[in-house]
Amino acid sequence: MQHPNLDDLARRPARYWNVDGLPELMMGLLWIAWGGAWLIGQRVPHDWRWTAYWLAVPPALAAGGFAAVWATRRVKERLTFPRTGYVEWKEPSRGARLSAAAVAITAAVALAVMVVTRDMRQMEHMATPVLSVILSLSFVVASLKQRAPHYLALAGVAVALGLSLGAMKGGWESMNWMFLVLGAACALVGGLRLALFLRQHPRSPVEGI
Amino acid sequence: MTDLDRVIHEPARLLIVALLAGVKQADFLWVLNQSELTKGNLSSHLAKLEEAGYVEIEKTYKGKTPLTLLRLTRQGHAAFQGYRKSLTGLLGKSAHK
Repeated sequence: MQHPNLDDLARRPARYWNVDGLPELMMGLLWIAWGGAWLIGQRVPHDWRWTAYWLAVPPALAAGGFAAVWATRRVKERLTFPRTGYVEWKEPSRGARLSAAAVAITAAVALAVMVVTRDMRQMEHMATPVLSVILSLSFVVASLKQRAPHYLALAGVAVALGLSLGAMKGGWESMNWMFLVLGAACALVGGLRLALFLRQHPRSPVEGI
Repeated sequence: MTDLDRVIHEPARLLIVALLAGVKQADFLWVLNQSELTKGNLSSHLAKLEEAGYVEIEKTYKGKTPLTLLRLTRQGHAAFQGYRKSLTGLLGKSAHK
């Protein structure tokens, strides 16, 4: 037996999270819900229904992010773990949590500064292409880190979608369409990968040592 | 070579320890799939690692299905870190020669 590559082994647990396509499927469904809810919200009549809708939907969408992670774990327990094994991932370190918080706060502050200081009309046409490039870069990073080439395809879809929607000058609504279509692409890729995973890994017989 | 921990230095055991070092705990099936060892081979290496105090094995049930949970002990983590350091040191020395 050859001496194992320790760096490669260290990345295996993180890659295992994406082995079944479930994260893409859940993320896709979440983005469809986000984009769809915002699009519907703009068509709600401007009376008590509009107030009620915008009071209820944003908190529900925010909670949806947490629900998606919870649901992914629950579905993995039923589908993935009985087939290819159970893993309890390590909690992210304090440093990792702090850096994620720092990035989120910096992005929020940058966005707030842009909203206050720049022309809103110009911004609404720029927002979708800029966000699509950010999403695309995230897909590229994920693809390299997780050795998942299908993320490169999603990166391409994100950029193409962002640029074409930006060119159509649809304003803020184009961002909702981007989430809707990109979410559908993610859900489709995730669904196909999940189907393939289930076919390749039939349920394991009784396990033991 | 005398600095290297002989229990971990064996490639199959190093593979098991390195896999377990990246997770809080995992079951037998996951390590079996990831290591591509045979069931018997994995069991015997796990028994050696348990004997050395590097791995904790917990036999439990999930519903009616038996579940064998494996986790690296504190001693196991320390031994793995020590092994990596020794290996890096040895590689560094050989590069300077």
